[in-house]
Amino acid sequence: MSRSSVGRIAFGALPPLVAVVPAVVLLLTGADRLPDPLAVHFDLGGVPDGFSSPTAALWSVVAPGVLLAVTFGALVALRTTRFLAGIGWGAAGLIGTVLFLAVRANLDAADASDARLSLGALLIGVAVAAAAGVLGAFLAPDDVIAAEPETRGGTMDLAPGERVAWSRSVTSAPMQGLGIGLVIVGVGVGVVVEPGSGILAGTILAVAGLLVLLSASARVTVDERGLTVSLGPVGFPRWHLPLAEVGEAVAGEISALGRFGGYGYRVVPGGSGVILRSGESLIVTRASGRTFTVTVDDAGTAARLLTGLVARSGA
Amino acid sequence: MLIRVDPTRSTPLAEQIAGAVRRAIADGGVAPHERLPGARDLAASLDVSIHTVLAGYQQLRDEGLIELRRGRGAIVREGTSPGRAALLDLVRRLVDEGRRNGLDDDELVALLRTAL
Repeated sequence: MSRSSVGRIAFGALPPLVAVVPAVVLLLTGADRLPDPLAVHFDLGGVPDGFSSPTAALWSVVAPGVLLAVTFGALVALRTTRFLAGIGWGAAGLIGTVLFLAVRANLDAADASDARLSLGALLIGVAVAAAAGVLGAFLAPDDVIAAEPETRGGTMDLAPGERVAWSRSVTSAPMQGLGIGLVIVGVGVGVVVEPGSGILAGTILAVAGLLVLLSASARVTVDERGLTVSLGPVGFPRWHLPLAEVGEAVAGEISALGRFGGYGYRVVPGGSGVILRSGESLIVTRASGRTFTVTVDDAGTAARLLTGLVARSGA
Repeated sequence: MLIRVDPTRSTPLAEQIAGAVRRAIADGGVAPHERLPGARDLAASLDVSIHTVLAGYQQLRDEGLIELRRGRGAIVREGTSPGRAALLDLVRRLVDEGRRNGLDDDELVALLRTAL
């Protein structure tokens, strides 16, 4: 087994194992302050509705950690993407936090039925999961991420007085699907399933869906002013790179989940990008050395034009 | 879609813009149902007047290649085939070449007939 595949397995498998350590340590060291049996399951009101012995509780803390470790160790080793790394680390953060808080809820309770676990514990768990997920996606080491894309460059010959513009729109099928899905679910929750109390949740979902739909397309423009990417029918937000900031422009194939960990405006080590799908992309290296990537068809023409414009402006 | 215009050429800028879009449709650089850049945006990109771009787009609409709708911008027509755009481009070049050689309209049509 090569060194890099050991690294990949460890990258996926270690976080869930590390995540359950606090709960395990608390179970072992706090034995004299914990009731027997322990409260191990709570209803939505935070009142315990499931109990087990400390030994059984230890296993029910270790088991999910091992299960997640095996799952994500294998997944990350097989197909390493920022997306999977983020999901794995996020799941580890969620179970680690919730299990620890559940054990802690038992601390100093005379009887297990006195233990309380508020819904806040779940919210803390979700927050930790989000932070761990972002960290995991960010830390995924370079040898874990799909190799640098193969690129093609070149330059376009431009006459001194010639005016040139290249423009192309790009649409994201996954984001359109997600947006439409969210709107349908939102309307369903708000109107059909639970009229009244469901309105707020339904509205939030539907608005989120509309926002995803609005950012599911972009127009990419290369002209005398540089590179401009404007999102959605509104054209906002907009990213602009003046010619003076363009170091090198090439075209290449990128993987949205593998290299950028998802869709939308993505920031990864060494650069950022407007990523609406996998595949052909314009990759611009700025003067600072950081890259700006935008997924768009016919990126080769855009790259050659950008290179030609930079050459002409410098001449 | 790549649009190159040169103000130093004798062809009016609007016709140069129409020609570039026509060739882009012909070589698949822009597909049926795809939206062309907004007239205002393209005018800013090329540093020309918005009226110049609109005149170019109107020429393409008169040729049946694109649709112009208020508020929705310019869209390549559903039934537009790259072949038809290529043909229109050839016709334009035929007319230009004819003019350059001093032929009038009747002579051009007559010339075309001899090839039929």
